[in-house]
Amino acid sequence: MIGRPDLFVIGRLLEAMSSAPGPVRRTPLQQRAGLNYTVFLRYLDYLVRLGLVAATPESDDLFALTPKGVEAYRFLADGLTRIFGPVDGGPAPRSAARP
Amino acid sequence: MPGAVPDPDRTRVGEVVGSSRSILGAAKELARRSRRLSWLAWGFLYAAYGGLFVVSVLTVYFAIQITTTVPGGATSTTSVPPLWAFPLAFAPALALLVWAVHELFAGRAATVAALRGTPRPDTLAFVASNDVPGWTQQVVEAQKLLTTAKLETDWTFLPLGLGLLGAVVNSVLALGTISGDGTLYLLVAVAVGFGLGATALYLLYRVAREWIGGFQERLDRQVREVSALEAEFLWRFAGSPA
Repeated sequence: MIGRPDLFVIGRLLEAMSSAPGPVRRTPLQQRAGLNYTVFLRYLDYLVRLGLVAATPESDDLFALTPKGVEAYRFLADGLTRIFGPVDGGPAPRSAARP
Repeated sequence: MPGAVPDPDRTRVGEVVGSSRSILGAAKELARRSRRLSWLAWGFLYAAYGGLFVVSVLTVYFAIQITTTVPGGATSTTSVPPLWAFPLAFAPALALLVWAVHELFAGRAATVAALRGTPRPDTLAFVASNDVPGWTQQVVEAQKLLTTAKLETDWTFLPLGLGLLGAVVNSVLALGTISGDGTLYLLVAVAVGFGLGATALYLLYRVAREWIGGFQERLDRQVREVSALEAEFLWRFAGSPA
């Protein structure tokens, strides 16, 4: 059970899923997010309940972002970038990234 | 091939999170610099008064005898320290003072750079570890470090002031040695020395305030904005503000 969720932990989990090429299993996801396994499970369960992340029909152990999760990820990314400033070497505008 | 072409739309939250972690890293750096500044200031104080002691010792061994003849025809002889004794005795104090001032300015510059949003190498390692303290915990720790650093920096100005007093005394002695006589000159030297010392101290204090105050202000702003973002996120995606 999560009291007040840590936005940064949520951000890291969503980031870990977003950067993966496809659905990810629990353990690699936990490693990608760099979280303690207990905390990871608690947050994964929370994100599933919010409908931001869902298990794939193929396996209960494979997770991917839902459209709502993608939206949440973009919301967090934009918000955090606005607060903390752009990251050096970070995302460039589409025209600059793909010549 | 997945990942061969970076997705330009992919904002790297992980790295943005990493930059937010640098708040605690920057606060720790600020506290370290503040502690170093404090040590340098106390070192300056001891070196300044130690310099006076060295001048006294050198006067005993290498005194220059000055004989003056008063109008009545009588002569009096006084011993003064050799002129070279002053730079020799006060070089360590001067070096420590320059180092302390440099530390103060470097601290201010580093704080601004650390909070600009670029994750630093140690910060990225921190993010990758399994034991990352939560945002709130980090802010609380950063606030504690800031309070201590602020207090420590304020107290730094006590040894700096007392040390500058020693430097003024040193200058007066040096001027007395050069001129041989002239009470008026000495009084002017004392007044000018105190004036310059007080002005320098005030300016340094302003830099210190700007250094720590600026960090505090940025931290407070980021805390407020993260809190607002958190509330909005929960409202939009969890259906409740908390």
